[in-house]
Amino acid sequence: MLEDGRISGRQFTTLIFLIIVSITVLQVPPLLLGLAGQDSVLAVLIAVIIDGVVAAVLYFLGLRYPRKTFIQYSEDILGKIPGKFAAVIFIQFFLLVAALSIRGMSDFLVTIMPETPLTVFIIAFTLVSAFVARGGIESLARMSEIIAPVYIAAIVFLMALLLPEMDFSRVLPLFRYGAKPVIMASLLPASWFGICIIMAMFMAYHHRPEKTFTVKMTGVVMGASVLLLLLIACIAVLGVEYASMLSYPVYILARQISLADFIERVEVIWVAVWLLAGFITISSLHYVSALGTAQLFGLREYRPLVLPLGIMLASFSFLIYPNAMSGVKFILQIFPFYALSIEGGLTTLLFLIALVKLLTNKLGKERRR
Amino acid sequence: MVKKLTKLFNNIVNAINNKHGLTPEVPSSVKQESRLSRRLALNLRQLKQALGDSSDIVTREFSIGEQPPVHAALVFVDGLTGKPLVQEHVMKSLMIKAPREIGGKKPDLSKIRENLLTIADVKEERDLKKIIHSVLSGDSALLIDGCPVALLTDTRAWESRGISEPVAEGGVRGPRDGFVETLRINTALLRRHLKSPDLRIETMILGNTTRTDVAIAYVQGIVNEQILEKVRQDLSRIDTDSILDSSYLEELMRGHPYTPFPMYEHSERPDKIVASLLEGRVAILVDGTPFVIVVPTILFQFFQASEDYYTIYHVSTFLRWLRLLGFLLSLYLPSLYIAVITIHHELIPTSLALALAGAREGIPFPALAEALLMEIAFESLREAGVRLPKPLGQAVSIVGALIIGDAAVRAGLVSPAMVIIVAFTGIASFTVPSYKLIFTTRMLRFPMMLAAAFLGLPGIIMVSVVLLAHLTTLKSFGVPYLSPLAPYSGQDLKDVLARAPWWAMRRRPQSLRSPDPVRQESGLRPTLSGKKPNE
Repeated sequence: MLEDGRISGRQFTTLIFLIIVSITVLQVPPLLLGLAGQDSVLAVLIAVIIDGVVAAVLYFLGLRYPRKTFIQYSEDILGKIPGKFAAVIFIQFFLLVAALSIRGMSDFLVTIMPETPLTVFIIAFTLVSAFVARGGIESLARMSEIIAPVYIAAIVFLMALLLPEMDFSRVLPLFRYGAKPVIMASLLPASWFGICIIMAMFMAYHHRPEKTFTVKMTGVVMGASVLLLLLIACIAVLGVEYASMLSYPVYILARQISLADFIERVEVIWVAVWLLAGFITISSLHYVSALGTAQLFGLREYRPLVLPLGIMLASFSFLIYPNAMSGVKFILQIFPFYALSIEGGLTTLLFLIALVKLLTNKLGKERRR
Repeated sequence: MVKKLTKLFNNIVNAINNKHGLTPEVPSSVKQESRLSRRLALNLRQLKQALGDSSDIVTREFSIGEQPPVHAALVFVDGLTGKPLVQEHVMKSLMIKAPREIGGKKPDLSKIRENLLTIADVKEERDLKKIIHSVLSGDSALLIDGCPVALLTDTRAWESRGISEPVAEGGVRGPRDGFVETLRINTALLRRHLKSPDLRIETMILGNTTRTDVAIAYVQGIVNEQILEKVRQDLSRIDTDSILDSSYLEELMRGHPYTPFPMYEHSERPDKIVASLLEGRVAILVDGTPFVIVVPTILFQFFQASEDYYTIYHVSTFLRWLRLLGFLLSLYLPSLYIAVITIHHELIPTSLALALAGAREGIPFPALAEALLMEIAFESLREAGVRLPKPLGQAVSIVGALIIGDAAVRAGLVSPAMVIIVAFTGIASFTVPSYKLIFTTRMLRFPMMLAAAFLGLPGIIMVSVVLLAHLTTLKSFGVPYLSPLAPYSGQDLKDVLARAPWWAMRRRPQSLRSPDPVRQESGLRPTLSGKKPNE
């Protein structure tokens, strides 16, 4: 057995929660605010619904092929060669998102610590994520179980301290430009929420697979609420125009906190928890791509793959875009469509074929009777 | 041809192996399975051959009865046996009180055993090897001419340290007895605190040369059988030369051989061990050491002092939080200081930053070097003080802390802020009850400081993530090391993040999967009226 760990429902939720918050909180808010303004809040809600549909599809597939990750069952569904092809697409997608997260985190840290070269961060992050990935799914799940409460506590603390700065009149009006831009904008968070197709990898190790949908959606809803809270806070404290011009409005948001000249500079708390969550994300993706590759080639052990994949990951995140500006362009114009075609498209394709197979099997059996 | 060659090869290999003694060899002194013969002289010669000419081994030959006199010999180790006991209850009864007629060539063993030896525990044994082990453990072996059997009389009585308060684990309130170096006394101490018939003690002998008695203690019906079986397996797997302390077992038993974290809790306090047994843990007692180890072990056990359960629970809860804080500070404080001083100047309020910068003015080293210097000085002081005789130890601390510390600041080598940080880190580390865990944090502080100096706050977080990932992979006999935090168990947390009052601790820890999880009935909370709350 490649991985004989089991994770609990609670751990599943916290894993999904941390992956979502770490991946969306940094880069998404300014872009989303630029696209949809005050309606960003609605866009997030729509994204949750889109993600719910994908989750339902994957939930169905996971129940249909119990104790199998979707690297394994895509072969069962599509046949050997096309199945492997689909698996390769999933794995490279995970690697791409991991690389994007590493790059995103490193880009952000370089703005805080300008004297440190980008490469140092990328390599250090990859090494740490490789170490965590070697621990396996149980270790990852337990880490997320410890970090998630800390994260939530930190966010609640920051939000409470921001309350005096908020001006809720800025949150309105909604639907200033009608529904269309909202729906278009919702593709952006949806594409990031969509990384939850990682659930199809984790579901095989969930100790109660039949509950996966509930725990997964709990994680997504929790993650989306944090994003919503931060968006509302951004709008209410900074205003849409200002926030959408900043690269990292949430960081600036945290910097606004100043209470009685004593509680100041608490943005460091936010950076700390955000980094912790970020490590969970990149290590999960790293782990999943190593595990998936091992399953793809029928290996007995995934650990030897972790470091080579890490080298790929580091170079990938270095090369993925030349500078932060083209990064924004990539995330805004290329990534959503690319991601959604895999998260929505490929999974739906798998689902439809599996459904057809199931029905024809049933029909065939009935006919034979 | 090939067959011949392989045969030849095998022969050569065998020959070489034999020459180098690689094949299991029968110990020269005692042939395996050797049994006693009927002739006393032969038996004595065999024993003498096995035990050698050691001065502390006494062989007393005498005769029992008169018509005809039966020759006998008593073999024991001087110093391990109680001489009055031997004289009064073995020699005297056999030589003086014995009837004149005892059986001649075929002496009546049962008579000797039942009527003459006034010793509580007498065993018959034929196996020479077992007799030797028994004699070396303090029994006296009675060999009688004409009998192929030795009577092993329990005359163990050696000088041992009296039961006293444990030095390393003192407390203000609570039982003050501590384990000693003798296994029997220790098991007796366990029985004194736990009179349940379900307390089981299994003994085995480990260490091929030291032949150390090792006992497993557990409470039948509370302990999880799987955990118990794992402990038994691990102990029986050990094939080593010597066991001089229970710490040998810690490294030889199951688990993660490369982790720097303590994977076994030990204690000198019987009350603590009994409390662990009642939670469903297994205790391992080793003869020759007062330190009893308890498995399975979780990290948070190292934050629990036995005194927590004897003081007001609010206070205990507060103290536990203080210890957790102390633990985190002792791990993070120097590195956070370095990170802020060298990289994140903007993270601290301006006035504080100015104060720190002012204090550091004129210091010739970067903050990392300064911190390393002070930490190493501090660790050396501590290490120097540990094994010195007490009066000298005080001198070290006075010279080290007061004179060197003060002089270093005045000479401008280190900043006063750094002295404060290092000293406070040291004090914070002492709040954790277990010095085992503190050793680990002392060590881990250094990579943390390096990471802080090079990568600042992100570096600290990276090291923390690596530590956390390592901790989450650890398991002690199937129980995750970080439980009840991860995997989460709210019920267990009330004895980790708090110390719940006794009436609220209804269940034993979930992580130990006890077959009898309920400790007590609900509704024990005392009320003003004296009635049960739900009545």
